[in-house]
Amino acid sequence: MNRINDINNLLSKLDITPTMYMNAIEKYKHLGDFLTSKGFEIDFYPQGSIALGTVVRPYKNNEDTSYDLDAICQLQVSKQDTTPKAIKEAIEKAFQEDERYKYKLKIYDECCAIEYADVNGIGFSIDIVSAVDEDILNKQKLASLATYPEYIDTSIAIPSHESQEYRWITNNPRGYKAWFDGINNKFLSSNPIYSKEAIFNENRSLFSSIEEIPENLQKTSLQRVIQLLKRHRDVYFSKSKNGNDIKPISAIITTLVTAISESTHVAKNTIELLEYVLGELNIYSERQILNEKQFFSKYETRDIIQRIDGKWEIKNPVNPNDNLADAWNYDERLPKAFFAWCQLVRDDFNNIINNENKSFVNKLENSFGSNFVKSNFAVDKYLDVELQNNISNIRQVKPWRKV
Amino acid sequence: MALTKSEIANIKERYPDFKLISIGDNGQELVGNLYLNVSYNDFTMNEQFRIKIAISKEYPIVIPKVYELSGKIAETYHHIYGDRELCLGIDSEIMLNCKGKLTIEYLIIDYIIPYLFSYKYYERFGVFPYGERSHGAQGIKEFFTEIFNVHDLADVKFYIEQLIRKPYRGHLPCVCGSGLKSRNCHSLNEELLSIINSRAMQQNLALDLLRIYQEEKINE
Repeated sequence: MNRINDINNLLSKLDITPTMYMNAIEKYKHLGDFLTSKGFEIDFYPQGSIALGTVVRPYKNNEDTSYDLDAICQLQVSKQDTTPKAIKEAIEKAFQEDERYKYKLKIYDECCAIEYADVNGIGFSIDIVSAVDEDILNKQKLASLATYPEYIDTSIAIPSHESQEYRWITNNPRGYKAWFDGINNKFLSSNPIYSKEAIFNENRSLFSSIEEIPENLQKTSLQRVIQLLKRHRDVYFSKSKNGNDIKPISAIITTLVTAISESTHVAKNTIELLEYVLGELNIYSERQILNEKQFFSKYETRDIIQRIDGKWEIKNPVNPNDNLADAWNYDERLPKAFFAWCQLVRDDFNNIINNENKSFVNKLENSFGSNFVKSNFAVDKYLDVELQNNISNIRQVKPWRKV
Repeated sequence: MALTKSEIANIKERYPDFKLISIGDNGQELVGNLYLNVSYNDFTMNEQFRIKIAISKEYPIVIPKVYELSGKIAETYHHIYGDRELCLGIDSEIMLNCKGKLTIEYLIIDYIIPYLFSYKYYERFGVFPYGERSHGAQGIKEFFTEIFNVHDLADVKFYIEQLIRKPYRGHLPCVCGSGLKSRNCHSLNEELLSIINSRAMQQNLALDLLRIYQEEKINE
């Protein structure tokens, strides 16, 4: 159990701290209040990992860098009365004209970002996507196609930028959070691994009572598995060949882990749940070689990753028009890289609880980054024997061979 | 010449696990386990290898052959020979990097360990942490391009031929035909010149030149 605790503790070091979380929530409120003061009728809310409690610190050039958080700025304007370009630019203009925000503002094709200065050496930026409520007709169509029609009502329309033009696309971050919470809450009620009591005890200066602690700061093994996989992905693909082009997107990781976890015991710890998820993904990897019929006869109704007539599909559970694996159908390297990476994680965490100490530490270092593990984890307690050749300054020589 | 007493003592102290075995008239072998905990580019190799270093009578002029015995290097890896000899690097390059004074410790620290790390890194990520050389003459050319800024294989051959017509002196016109003194042209400073004129370097340059010619003959 010590090793499980150590792994959970390491993952908590990748997460946003309660202090930073409260700071971020305050920034969201300021941004919303600011836009309201400029005359916008809006609903300003977090989306993505900050809303789901699955934040991991980004990893670039072997370093942990600023957190990227996401927000939706949903304008109370009818979709028919505006355009995607207009809502995007209106928000940006308001920030540009403000002394406090204009120097923090970055404008991208589909969103803008406010970049905050570092606090204690850790910075973060908030990406803001402008949105309006999706129209009734589209919602009706979506509901008729949806696996979970009850989540469709929160659908929004956001700007999508393609070939120099803006058009609307459907998104549903609130529905996604509701779907995610529906599954995660089962883990939370029976098996919280970072409870409000623990958070309160560790952050007395931040909260005066347990009731003040936001739900999102609690953690379950489901959230920890998602964080573990996102971090492993970041470290692995930052070093591997064409890693940036082929690394799996967070939405795929989060959706697959959550959907797979729905059908298992909520009492599983982080490593047990990880093994279960990777075991299922290993089965799905056979879709690379088996056709639909062969896969069905072997594994029956496993439909979280589908392959119909050769086309990959991972349904966004709250947006039936969104195939998260769409890009897999245009670049065959993507499914290949995804399943090979799943196998690598499986190898790295295979028997990790019973491995000898030296191998345990080594696997953690290579999964999460050596520097991060060495500086956030008491490696020494596992390495009782001084190793013969600890070398941190290696000579960079190139292998060769004669023909 | 073979290993000196002081070098044997040093190896025993630094690598107590290694055993020195005499192989008749033909030389000696050092065999033992190498425990390594090496980090580079935020990746750590923590692994044990069984290594054999075959030291010939001509050591330290001739670079020992090195083998990995525990089978931890896949046979399909493209920097290992069929008999499990490791392709550590180009002989002239190995000799140049130790300034013509080869020792077993240098070979372990500067070549064997980086080689093993490079392999484990490549095995995981499919890329080399600090590059690789092309095989054969092409790789030798790459080395000469880096050190002497010579870009063409014909020039490399000509250049090596001049270098091994010893003693080569820095005030002589550069072998590349630029008309400049070589110390002002292809960065042949006095230190580098004295290394190049050493017996060890001369022999390994000649060996690499021979390999280029042999490869050309095969290709004809």
